[in-house]
Amino acid sequence: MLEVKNLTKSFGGLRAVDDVSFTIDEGSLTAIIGPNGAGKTTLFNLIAGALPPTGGSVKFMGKILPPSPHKAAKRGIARTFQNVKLFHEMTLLENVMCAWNSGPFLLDSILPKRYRETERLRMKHACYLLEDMGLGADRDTRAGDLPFGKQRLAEIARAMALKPSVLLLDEPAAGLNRTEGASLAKIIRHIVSSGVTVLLVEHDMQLVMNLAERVIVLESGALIADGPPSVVSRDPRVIQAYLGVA
Amino acid sequence: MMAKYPRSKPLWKLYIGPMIMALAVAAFPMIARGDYSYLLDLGRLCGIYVIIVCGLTLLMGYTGQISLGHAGFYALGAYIPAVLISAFHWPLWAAVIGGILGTAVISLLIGSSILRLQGNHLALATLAVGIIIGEGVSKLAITGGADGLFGLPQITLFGLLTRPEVRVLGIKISQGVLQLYFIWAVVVACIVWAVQLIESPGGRSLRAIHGDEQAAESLGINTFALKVKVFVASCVLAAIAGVLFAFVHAEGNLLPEEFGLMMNVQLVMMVVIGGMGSIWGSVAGGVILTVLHEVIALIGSAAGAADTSRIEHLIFGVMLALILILSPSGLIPGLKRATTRIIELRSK
Repeated sequence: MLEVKNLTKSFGGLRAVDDVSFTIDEGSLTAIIGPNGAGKTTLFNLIAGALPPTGGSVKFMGKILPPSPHKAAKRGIARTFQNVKLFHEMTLLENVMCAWNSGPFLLDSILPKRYRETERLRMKHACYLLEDMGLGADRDTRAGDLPFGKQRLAEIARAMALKPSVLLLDEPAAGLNRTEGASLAKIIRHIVSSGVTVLLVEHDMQLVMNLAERVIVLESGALIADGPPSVVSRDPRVIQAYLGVA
Repeated sequence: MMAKYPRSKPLWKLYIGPMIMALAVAAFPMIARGDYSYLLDLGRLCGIYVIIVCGLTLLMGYTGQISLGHAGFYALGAYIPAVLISAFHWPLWAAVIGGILGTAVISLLIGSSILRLQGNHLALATLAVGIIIGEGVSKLAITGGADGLFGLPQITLFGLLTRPEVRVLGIKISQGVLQLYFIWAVVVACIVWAVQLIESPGGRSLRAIHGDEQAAESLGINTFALKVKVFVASCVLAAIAGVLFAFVHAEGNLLPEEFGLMMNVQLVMMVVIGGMGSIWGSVAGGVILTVLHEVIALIGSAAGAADTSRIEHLIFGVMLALILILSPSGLIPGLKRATTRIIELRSK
């Protein structure tokens, strides 16, 4: 479903992503791990269209993805950000509803009756999405007033509002405590079981090893291991990359 | 008991504000006594500025894109039809439509070339646009240069606005009052449109761009296209204000002074003073600054000063600084917070 082929991204002389190729199957849960600066977030930005690749391509459902985040989102690729990017001045409900923005801008502003019914249904749907994340009680709270853990979950709820086929989670467990991390794992499993393909970048090895069916390891932009967690965790190159022993 | 699902705001609530405003303007000449032609003049000017500031609030307050050049588009709205009439002998209505469409096209071209800039860069680029247009109309031969254009036709609404007075149900309404009503009818229409836009899904997307552009993109919002759309919309509002200024308020005599550098700054000040991100704040900002301008001129002339513009800049500057320090979100939101705090303290 998602085909990454010889993907390369250079910033000046630095090759942040270096000739990476892999294919993601529909409905799978894949983790991308690697030490700091390995190019994980860059890889995510390339898949989400936020950066144009220097070389290679990302194909989604057989078609090359254009380097434009809003087009990628419209095609069904949703994402969250490493440092949560909610709209702080809006309530959680409004945040989620921002995912539904199609409609003729001018016509809607002249004839407000046009969108009333759809907006009512959207509001209801947004409530369901928030309740799924256990945020039902916080739906009218300003996003900026919520604790960090809840903000993370709200960002996932907002991404899910796009009804994505692929969900990219950039370090979803960072900054969460143990209970929050456990409920996050549950939520991710729930998302995968609903048929969404999930790709996650994560530092929390425990979460990755428990959750992922497949682990892709990057080091200095290059792919050094790819396989089930039990195999990857015994790979000498991976151990070397993480521990730095010769 | 709380309802299980929140309901969207009933539609009629959106129209309470515009309705109150319309009634207040309608009642004004009936309450005012004596010779109030001066106040009518001021009221018309207030209305014209409120239209521009309303558009500018959509762009700056809601979408978070600064423009220091809207006086330029205000000028285009006045001068394009004026030139079409004086140099090309177009009929008035065709020239007015041409002026508004022309401003829309020009702002589309300018907007799509500068709206990829952010923050200070965008501010400078728009300021440059404002200066170029403002200087242009005061220097070009076709716009009459510093002498302006005189003897242009006026908007008469089928002769209605040219009569000295009109009788409706036994009430005499003078020409000045009719002009005031006409301008404020346009103001109310613009505000109703702006309020509806903000409530629409498109309005939510605008606030999303203000909140975080990257996140908005990740949700499928074409942020650049949307920014261009709001920019053009706000420029069209400025152009409408320009038309009203040239062909109703100034009675067909157009001078370039109105569209100088200070106007750019003054418009932004109206937005900031009124409170970024609230349409009603922008109405208040427009009215407060226009009235203050007149009050300073009055006091100045009473004290024997010939030119009060310097002292005015000083007062406006201090005011802006105070508001940004004491209540960065603007005067109206600041007053709102202060009153709620006083009520809280009282109830303790």
